[in-house]
Parts: sequence; structure tokens; C-alpha cells
Amino acid sequence: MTKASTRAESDVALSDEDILELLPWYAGGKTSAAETAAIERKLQGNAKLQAELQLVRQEKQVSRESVKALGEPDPALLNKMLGQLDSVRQLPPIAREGTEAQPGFLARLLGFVPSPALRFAMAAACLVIVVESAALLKLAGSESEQSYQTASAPAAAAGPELIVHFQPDARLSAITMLLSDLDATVVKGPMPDGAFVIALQKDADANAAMTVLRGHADLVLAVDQGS
Amino acid sequence: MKLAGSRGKSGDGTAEVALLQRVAGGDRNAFAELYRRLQRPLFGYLMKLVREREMVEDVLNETMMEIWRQAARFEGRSSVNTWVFSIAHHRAVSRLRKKRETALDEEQAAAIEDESPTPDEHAMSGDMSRLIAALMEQLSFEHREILHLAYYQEFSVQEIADALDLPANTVKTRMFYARQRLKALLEKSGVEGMVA
Repeated sequence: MTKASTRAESDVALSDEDILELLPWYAGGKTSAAETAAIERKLQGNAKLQAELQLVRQEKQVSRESVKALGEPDPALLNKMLGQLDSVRQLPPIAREGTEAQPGFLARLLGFVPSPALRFAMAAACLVIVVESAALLKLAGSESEQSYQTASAPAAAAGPELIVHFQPDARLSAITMLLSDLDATVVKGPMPDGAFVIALQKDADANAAMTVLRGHADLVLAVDQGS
Repeated sequence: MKLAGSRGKSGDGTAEVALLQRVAGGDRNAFAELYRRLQRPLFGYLMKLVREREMVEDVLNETMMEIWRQAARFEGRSSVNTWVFSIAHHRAVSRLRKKRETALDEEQAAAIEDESPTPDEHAMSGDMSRLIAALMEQLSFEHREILHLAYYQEFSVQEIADALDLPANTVKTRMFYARQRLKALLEKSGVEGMVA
């Protein structure tokens, strides 16, 4: 890094609001060098901000002590879990092009694309095109909270949400049919753990839909109610 | 201007990545070692969210089983820590939803019978740390979670964003409002001069 760029980095200007937002991370040493320098400039001679930092440190200390007081999980839990491992099937890695023989279309589709957002966009677009044959009308929400809506269902579809893990070798066509049967739409995913969030129609019975999904063990690994 | 508030990771996580790779290969010893490393942070996190010890241990069990199941799919886009906490978060939310406890708001939470001293009693005794601890328990699920991840787990803004699948700016504003709420509760308890 050059001296000029170092100076530019350290010259970052933060508003009072920015400082207040960053103080909890500053207190834990989790701000960048530029942010730290800017915060320390603001702290000098600012009694109000110094008092705020003191409160942050006290909250942090309380948080740490309160967790210590909680103790630990039952020591027998590890053995219990080890006893369960044989009954839990480990998933294979998401197949990459040319590495796995005959990976499912969904796995290949999602596996090729480096960006999670782009993966979701592709999967959602395919699902929308195949299942509903409708135009992709709207990209809503923030960058990391994308959802797609179609002319046929969407916003009104904001019914119960389910978190679904699909089988890695499941075919997209089979998944689209299943979702079509449920009148469900993919609204988010893949999540860090590989799950997708699907939205049912407004008045749909989430438990009934979960039963249907669980009945397709060839396509669905797991399903839970969404947040 | 970049306001990441996200210097570095919580440790470089190299050992955890290596363990997770062994877990993905079905290594039970690696699973046990990974659990020993994760049990305290995960247990503390889940206790803050779920609160009931028996349910916490169930969710911890489910989280570890999910780690065993999904280990081969960890692709290193985030740290092992944030990946694990993401799974724990979703499991906790799912479990609470099943029990219809996610609707538990701050007033209801405060109404839970508890033999420990009330915030007012702490305020009267002048025990500020205990008062803050008691008031933190009155916060909403989301506010308790963000305070815990930032203060106890010492996650950066970006690590929390990764774990909770939120934009970084939302992490910062959520933390800001969690602290605002805590300060309001402090003032309500008769503590003056704490709000900057």
C-alpha cells in the first residue's frame, strides 16, 4: 500500500450516526484501520461519545459474563450424537462440471455458477419460466434478499414459507412439477447451507405442504417451516 | 466510502476447515473434535435465543447433525463459524416457530415468571451489570441475537451478515436499535445519564 493510499484510507469521514453504529465493533477491535482512525478522531474531546463507548464496553462485559453463567451442555450429548451419525446420510459435494457422473440438472446448474445470487437468479428464472410460463416481472428487496415475482401468483402468494433442501441429483423438471403441484414459488436461496425458501399461496396449509414434500424423498431431503 | 466494520474473521479458521473436511469424509473423531470446539459458543448462542435448556440441547443436536450431513457442501464462501451459526440460527428459528414462541414479544418476555430479581430491584440495589443483564433478557429475539453475536461471539459486521443472511447495513442498524431499546429500558428503570 502506498503512502498516498494509506492517507486516503485513514481520511475516511464518518458521521456521528456512523460512529454510533460502529462503536460495538470498535470496542471489540473489529473495525477496519480507516474506521478505527476515524472513530478515534471523533472520540477525542467528545465526552458524549466517550460515555457511549463506556456503555458499550459495559454491555459487552455483561454479555460475556451472562454466557459464562449458563454453563455447558450435557456431557452425554456428544455420545448421543455419535450414536446418531450412522442414521444420518452425508450429502455429496455439489457436483462440478466434468467431475461427477451424471449429476442432476439442478446440482449442475447451481454448481457451475460462482455467485450465490447468480445461482439463485438462474434457478428462480428457470423455475418461473418452466412452471408458470410467465414473465419475470420484478426483482424485489436488497441485493442479498432477492425475490422474484410473476404475473400469476407472487405478492399475493406471500403465504407460509418453507425451507427446503432438495436432493442433489434431483431433476429440475421434477422439482418444478412438484412446486407447481403445491402452487409454490422459490423466493430465496440457496442459503449458506444449500436450502431454498419457497412461498406457498396465502391460504395454503403449511403442514399439508410439508407432508407432500416429505413424501417425495427422491426430490426432497428435508423441509422445515421458514422464518 | 467503505463502512464495512468487518476487519478480519474470528480467527483464521484453518483448523475448523480441516476438521470439516475430515467430517465430510465421515471421520467421527473429527466430528467429535469439531463439536468440542463449537459446543460452548453454540450452546451460549442458543441459550440466549431459545432459553429452555432441554430445547437448546435438542437444537444443538440438530445443528451438529446438519453439519455432519452438509459438511461436504461447505464451500468456504464464509468462515466455518458463520456457516455453523447460520445453520444454528435457522434451526432455532424453526424450533421456536414450531412452538409458536417467535411471536413472543418484549412485553410477554418480560412477563415470564422468574424468581431472579427484577430490573427494578437491580436498579434499586445499584447493581448496574446485573440490571443490564436482566434488561438484555427483555429484548426481542432479533435484538438479543445481534447483541450476542457482536459482543460475545465477537463477530464482525460481515460475519453476522453472512450468518444471518442480512445486508451489512441491516446488521449495523439492527445493532443500533437493539442498543437504543436497551437504553430506553435502562432509563425506564430509573437509570439516568446512561444515554449518550
